[in-house]
Amino acid sequence: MTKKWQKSAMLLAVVMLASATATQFAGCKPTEPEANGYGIEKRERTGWEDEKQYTFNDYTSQMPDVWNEIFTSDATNTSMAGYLNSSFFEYDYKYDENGDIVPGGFTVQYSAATKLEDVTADYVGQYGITEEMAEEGHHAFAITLRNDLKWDDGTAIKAEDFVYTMSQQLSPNYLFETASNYYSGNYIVHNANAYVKQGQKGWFEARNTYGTYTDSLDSSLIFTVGNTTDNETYNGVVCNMRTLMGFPDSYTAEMCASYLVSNGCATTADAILALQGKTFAEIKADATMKETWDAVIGWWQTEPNEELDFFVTNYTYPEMDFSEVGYFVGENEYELVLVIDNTLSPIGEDGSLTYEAAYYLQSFPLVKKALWESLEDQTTSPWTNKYCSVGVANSASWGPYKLTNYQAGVTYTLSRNEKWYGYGLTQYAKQFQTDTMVTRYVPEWNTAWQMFQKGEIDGIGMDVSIAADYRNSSQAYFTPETWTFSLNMQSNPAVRTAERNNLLLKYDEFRKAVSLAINRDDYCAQNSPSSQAALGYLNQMYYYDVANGKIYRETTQAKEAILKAYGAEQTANGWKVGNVEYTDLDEAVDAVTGYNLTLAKELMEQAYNKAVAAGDYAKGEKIVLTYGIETQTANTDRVRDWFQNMFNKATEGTSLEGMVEIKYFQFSSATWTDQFKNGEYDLMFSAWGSAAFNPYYLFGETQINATNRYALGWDPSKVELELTINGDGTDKCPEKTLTLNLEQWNDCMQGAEGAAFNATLYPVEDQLKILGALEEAVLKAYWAIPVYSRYAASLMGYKCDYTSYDYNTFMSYGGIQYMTYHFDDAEWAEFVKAQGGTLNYNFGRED
Amino acid sequence: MYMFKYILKRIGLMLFTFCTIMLMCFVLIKLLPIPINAGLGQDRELLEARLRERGYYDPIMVQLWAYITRIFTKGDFGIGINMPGYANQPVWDAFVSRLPPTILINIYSTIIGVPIGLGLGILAALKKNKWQDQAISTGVMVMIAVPSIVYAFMIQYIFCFKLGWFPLIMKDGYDYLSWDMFRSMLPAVLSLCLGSIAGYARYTRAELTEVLTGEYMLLARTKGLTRGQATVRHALRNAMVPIFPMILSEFVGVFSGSLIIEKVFAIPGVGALYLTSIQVLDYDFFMLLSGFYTLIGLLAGIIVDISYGFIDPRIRMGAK
Repeated sequence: MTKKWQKSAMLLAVVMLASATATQFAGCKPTEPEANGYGIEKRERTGWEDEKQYTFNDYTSQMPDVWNEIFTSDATNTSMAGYLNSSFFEYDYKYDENGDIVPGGFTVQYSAATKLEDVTADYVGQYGITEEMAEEGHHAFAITLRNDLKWDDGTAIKAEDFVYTMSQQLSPNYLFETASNYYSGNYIVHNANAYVKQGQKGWFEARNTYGTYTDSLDSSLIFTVGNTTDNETYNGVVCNMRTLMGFPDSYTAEMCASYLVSNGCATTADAILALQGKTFAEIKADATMKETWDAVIGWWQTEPNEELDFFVTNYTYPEMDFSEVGYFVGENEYELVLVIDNTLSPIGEDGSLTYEAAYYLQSFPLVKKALWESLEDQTTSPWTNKYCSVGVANSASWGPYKLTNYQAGVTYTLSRNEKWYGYGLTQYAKQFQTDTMVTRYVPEWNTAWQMFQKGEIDGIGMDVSIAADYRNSSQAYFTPETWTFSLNMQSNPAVRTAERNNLLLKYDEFRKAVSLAINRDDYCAQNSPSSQAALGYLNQMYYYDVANGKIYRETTQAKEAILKAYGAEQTANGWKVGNVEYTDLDEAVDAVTGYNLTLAKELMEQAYNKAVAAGDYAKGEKIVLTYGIETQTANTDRVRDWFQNMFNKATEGTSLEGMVEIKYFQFSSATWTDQFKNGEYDLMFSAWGSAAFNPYYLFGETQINATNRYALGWDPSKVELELTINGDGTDKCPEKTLTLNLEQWNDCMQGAEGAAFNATLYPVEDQLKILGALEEAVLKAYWAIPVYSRYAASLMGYKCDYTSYDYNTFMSYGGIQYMTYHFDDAEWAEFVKAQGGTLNYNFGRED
Repeated sequence: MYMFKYILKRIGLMLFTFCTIMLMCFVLIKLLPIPINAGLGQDRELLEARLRERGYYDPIMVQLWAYITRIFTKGDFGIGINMPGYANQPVWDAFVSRLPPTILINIYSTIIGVPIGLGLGILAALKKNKWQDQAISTGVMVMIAVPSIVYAFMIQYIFCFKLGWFPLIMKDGYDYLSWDMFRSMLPAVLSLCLGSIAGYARYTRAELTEVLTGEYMLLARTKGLTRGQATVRHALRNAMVPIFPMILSEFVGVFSGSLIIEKVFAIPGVGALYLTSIQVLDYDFFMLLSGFYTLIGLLAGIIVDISYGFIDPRIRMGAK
């Protein structure tokens, strides 16, 4: 009896425990949304003048570690640094006559600067400026600073502070990786490259070092096609040709030589290898070697100075004084002069600021000299500096906020910088209402989500797990991004094993089948709900004409590129997509999905037959494709499973049915691109973005240039394209029909030195034509398959609001600058308490 | 004297093992590719020059000598390169700044876990095969079978989010010994100690059950000792011989941190550092952490071995 009672008691306890747990989990369900929400009264923005306390509580999954642009271009760091710095020129909303924001509009205004002048003519004969350049203009600019710029402790800021900072930014003692922003980015500060590299001695690739080839260099040029492991003699330096060809580090000299020969170089691999380690002078002096060289350079050269591509050199960059750099104090202590080797057009014909002023010249790095020098450590090599890192004491601000608390790995607080010049200016009236920004490090999204519901943080990124429930929330907003994610593929025969055979990836039919088997809408729905299916490499964020708001993706050229790449047929009346004919181009483009499972299966079978015939695949052999990830998570599992399912469907009923298996490959975040290029794994999801105002540059650099192109299974220089360029009828831009390879067309499009012609001087229609044709050609190679363009989905807390929920490329949603509050801090605490400590964000939009 | 010699010998062997492991780590990590990821518009030559200045292209033995010299002459363990949140910062400072939360949480976990675990184990052993034993054993099995991440999420959701008894994440600031800080650490401590409680309880029950059936326990009772006296004076003490080193080794492990628990409760501890240092190829971080954990592991082994001699006088370390 006793035992029965005990068993019953235990059973009861288990049942009670289970029911208690069930009750708790029943509580997990979000409460049903009410139609009227919380009825929060939206308030007008009051701005920095408001005396109440407004705190924006945020979270981050990665703590910033240095918050000055001299150190880093990392997004986490620069977003924090942005509040501590000011802009010379900045974008602002454009308003109509009623004071309403013009959708998509923008203006450019002065902020920390008061004047911008083109002073190219004033510096003829200096800083490399010639008479011709002076006539052309756009090379030297004088920026006059406000005379009331101050650090947060009241110390005045003048032009010399910026010049001092640039001398540190480009200091050869520091060798900051961000130094290249000033000579290999959008503009080239005169002598910046030479200054930062001064004193560097050792082996360098000859093309970068000399630039121009002359006979006098012959004895100092050493031929090599070898790699870092072969050539310890050259301290790991490889020649420019290897970089241009995108050869991975693992390629030996023998592999490179064989590649050159198999791709049309009219000599033997042994003959090329015989040149290894010889000076150019020795090669020229020996008849046999000279013959080999002629074959090599004959195959390679399309532009002057490309002889240098095959050589390395032992070189010492000459010493240089900073006064030779095109960045100095002008005619008065508030005038900063910038001299660049290329051109910019930040000033319109009417003297107004163009978008380029706020885009390219928005700001330059600035450090507080005394603090910088006190934190400098000259005992390390290169030197190190704890400026704007480690803690508050090392920080200085000249922006609207200053750092008032920093705990590494935990939190940081930005508070209003009362010394900022903007507080008091009418152009900032009713702005910067936020007094304090507190950011907590919360690496786990679920934790952040609970904090958000309890009102502890005021905004959160929307995870896929809640997207379906909250995407229609009144507090949801979506930020389009420039990033388009593509599935990159690599086929490396060297890695074929009994367990891994990726050779099918080298067959066009197989890769095309993969492209056609991807149901992009379904992918987005399952894996990235706020994102949009992508068929091209450049999404709606890319402007080819910024001033007039013209977007590349909306051009006829871009639309036709998509139609042609995805198999639509041009008819007399329009376009035929599938079995439907469209007379309207937009309708035809809308009808393209890139998804055709039937054709995918056919292509799979064709690939199978070809591979079997070529001995690259044996019947019944497993095709194991490795998919690269940094860390395995639920998200990576979901994506892997989606692709596994996709392959299963695409091969169903074909000879490859059930043969394709996807396995993980874990890469290092520091070497993932090299590992992919080396063929260590086969499939990689990656994205290129930013440079929204220069689609030509982004596309050319990322999809054609081998330095940045991920998929190295193909060579764009071997794909030819015939185009007719209409020109404008003048001698400068005549009509021409050319057949060039993709690299050459890209050079033309970028206006590169030595290109067949400079397309940047041609009408924009011609430039778009080239870009569209190149995009089509790259899409048709099927090595990088666009899948989706990312939208960042977020929820904004009830405490505050953005000024506009119409996304603006230039202003986003107005950010902290234009943020408005419905509660001050005390009111917010009361409000959350009144709601029982947990807020419901599942109320739909009233509109 | 035997003991002293034994300890010296063990320390000598420990140092030898430590140096061997560190040498292997250093050489192996330097054989990996040099971490260069030149982004769009970045000058690869400049990145290489920077790494060259740091000695990355020197022969490995030259790098090793420079590394050792730096540590012993300047106490410089290097600067973080790729470690998120700690780039450009001395790795030693970063590591030390993250130790206190990890140590505290693990100490609290041990302080709470040991008495509860032992208590449950003792109770289960004394009530062997009765409903108390079955209930405890069932609970122990559940606690062992369920991963700590599940506890972490459940504790956070129920006690922090729904009931609001504790903050969702650890409090910021450096007041590690304040009440508010302790309260904010409790969810993490509970998540950590549930597994320990189960381990202690299971082990104690097993040991004590065996001891309680020993003939000397019968002798003790026949001598006139009460059950309680016999259990406390004889059974428990003998059962502690294998249990105490287990507690000790777990206590030494307080430096190691927990990747998952620290992530869920946003604890700025060392749990994630080691794994991240490998993922991002931050060599200086990797070497420091490898050295630290190797040392901790080796020390724990020595301490546990020596502790046997103190707990049980019959065990004489190093005696022939």
